[in-house]
Amino acid sequence: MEQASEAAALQSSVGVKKMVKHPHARRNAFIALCIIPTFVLYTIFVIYPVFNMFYLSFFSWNGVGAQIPQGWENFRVLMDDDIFWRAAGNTVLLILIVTAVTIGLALYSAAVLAKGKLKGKTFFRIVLYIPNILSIVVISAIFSALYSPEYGILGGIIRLFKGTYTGLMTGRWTSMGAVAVAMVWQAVGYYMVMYIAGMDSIPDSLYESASLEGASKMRQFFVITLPLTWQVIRVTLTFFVISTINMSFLFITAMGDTSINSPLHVLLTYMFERKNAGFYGYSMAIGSILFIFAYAVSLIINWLTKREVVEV
Amino acid sequence: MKKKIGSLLLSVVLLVSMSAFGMLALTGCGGDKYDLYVAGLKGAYGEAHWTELVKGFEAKSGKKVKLRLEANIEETIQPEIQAGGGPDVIYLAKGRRLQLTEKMLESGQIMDLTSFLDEKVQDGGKTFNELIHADAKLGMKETDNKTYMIPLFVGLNGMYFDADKFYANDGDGVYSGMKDGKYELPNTWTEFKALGASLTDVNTVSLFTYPTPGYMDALIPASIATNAGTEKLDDCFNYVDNIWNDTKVNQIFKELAAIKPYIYPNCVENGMGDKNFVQNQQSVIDGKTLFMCNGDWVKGEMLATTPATFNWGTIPYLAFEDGQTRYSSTVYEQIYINKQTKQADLAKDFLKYVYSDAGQQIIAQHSRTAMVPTINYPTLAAGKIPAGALAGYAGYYDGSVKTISTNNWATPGATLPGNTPKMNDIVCGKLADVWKKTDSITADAWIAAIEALSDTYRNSITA
Repeated sequence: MEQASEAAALQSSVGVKKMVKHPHARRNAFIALCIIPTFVLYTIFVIYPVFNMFYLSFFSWNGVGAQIPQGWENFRVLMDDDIFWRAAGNTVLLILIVTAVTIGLALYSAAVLAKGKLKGKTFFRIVLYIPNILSIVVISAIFSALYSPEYGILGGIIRLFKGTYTGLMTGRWTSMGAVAVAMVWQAVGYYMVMYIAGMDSIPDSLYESASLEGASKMRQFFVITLPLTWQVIRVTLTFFVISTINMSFLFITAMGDTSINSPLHVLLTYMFERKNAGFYGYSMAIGSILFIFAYAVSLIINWLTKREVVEV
Repeated sequence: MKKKIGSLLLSVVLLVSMSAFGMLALTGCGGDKYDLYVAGLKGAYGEAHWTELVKGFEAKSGKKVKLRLEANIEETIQPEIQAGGGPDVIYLAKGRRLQLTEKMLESGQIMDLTSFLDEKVQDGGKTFNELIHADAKLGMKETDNKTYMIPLFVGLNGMYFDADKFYANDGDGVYSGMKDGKYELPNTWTEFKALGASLTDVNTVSLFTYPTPGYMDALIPASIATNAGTEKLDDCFNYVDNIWNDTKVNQIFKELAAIKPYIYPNCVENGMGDKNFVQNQQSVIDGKTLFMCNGDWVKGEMLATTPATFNWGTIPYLAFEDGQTRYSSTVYEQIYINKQTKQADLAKDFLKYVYSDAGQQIIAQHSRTAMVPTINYPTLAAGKIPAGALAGYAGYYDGSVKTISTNNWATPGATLPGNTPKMNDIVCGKLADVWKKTDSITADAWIAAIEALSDTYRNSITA
């Protein structure tokens, strides 16, 4: 009896194993066939350039001539380079300010527009999202016109109050502020929409019971809304920091000065300027440092914002 | 099973069609066969003359020419050159932001044309060496005494102003004040500064603006040549030790710092980057500023916003004392042959066609007042180029206006540290740091920075 059942069990397990093996093999082959082209393209256009960048940072190259090996020379010069440190400082500052202000404003707008019974809710959502659809060139043109000393509205308002206005792009802090405002304006709508989606999934019953127990709107926001949307915020935070690094390059190139004397340099614009000046190896060294920096920042943010997932 | 085959087929079709589109996009609409590839800058002179030149050459030689003209042509052709191909004939000047011509020169990728210059242009009977203007020949040889590029266009730089606002200078070396609502044209920096001081409100009428600091790359060398002589200027271009501490050489920097109170208030702001510099130029047309340093192309560049009654005036850059030679500076745009070309003879034929009588006439007729630095150009261009524009260059062609050529910096060695700025970034670009309202630097700091950078360049050559 036992033997028979054992034999049956053995047979069925072997049969199961056979059945398990074959369909998976065919399916796996199909999946591989679908993924491999993308993987190949990804390797060629993303992975290989990163390795090439690290490789080139140990050379001196002007773009058309021979590549001369330099060892760690590029990095040694980098450590003493005042402009590099200023650019690094500007990058960090821009990341901090733009991220904090954008996420803060996005959260606030989302909180007001998600559950609130505000009149014209849809209108505000559309209006706040439109800047995100505009191209960077258009936004830069708008803000350049706004800040222009001859024809700008900002200058006109300041002169109305008998002040003098000669533009924002020459000083380091004023030009950073000018670019930061443009960047925040462009990004708030996108993150607001994501947070609204996250907040809309919170059931009304929680808010009702909270207000019945006498909790203010502020307290409801911090105790109910924020923990339940935390995962969404966490993902967007990491993504946005990287995005700021890229967007800062676009905005500064479109709005400000990118010559070597510019007060406004961030790491990406300095890297680009050095490449244009014919110092490819040095520019790749800056790129390598920026790459490591961006990775480190996203890892740190990921670790800092870790919390156990709260679900309803 | 059918579903799987179907979806596999679909994805293969998708992949193939996407890569086909990608290929098409990369090679650009079909990729016709051609014999000669000519690429160049689409600049202030327009592109009509190139199209006509190509048509004329195709008709004469029976060969097909591919022409590519773009405002940022370096971005297109540099990858092609790096890949081992690229255009056969390239029209691109030195002194561009991306410096492709300089890089190709440094790496020996331009064909040596020294012996080619003794060949005759088409239907003219004259050789290149006979045709090219003496002034243009000055900068043609590189440091190894060979010629790689031929100057195709010449532009005169100088001080530009509204001619109706000024009366002629009486030569007494002192600013004589306003007469009939007009200012006296200054000849020296002393008169220039006195004119600036006489302006009551710099917000209404100011003395001077630059479009961007980079435009000083004509004014500063010309002023050094005026004050210290052309040999000292050559020393500057060759990074001779302590040349920038010579008081005659560096006086221009001190004068520029001295006129800071009189400059157009928005000058520095508009000059940051290349977006708003046109507003600096417009301020001269609008009467808010009296002078700017610029080149002849500005007339065409600002045509749309210039009233028809506006008359441009040009004078050479200022002297420091009476009796010094004043200079305008010339900027040449070059044409050259890629060393990697497989069509060397055809490329040379094309150059011979461009400089022939027929070619020069096409340029005169169709370009926006481009000037070719050959001795027969004024005759060929008469009637085709507006008389006023040609008159402005009469002094150049007959040799009466002294010119120097700019941007003749000696090629540095290959071991420059990675964070070295270009000479013009400090010699010219740092003017913005002197003229800005807050955190500005002194003229002495500027001169010290130039001397330090010159030392770096010199050490890279001798190292």
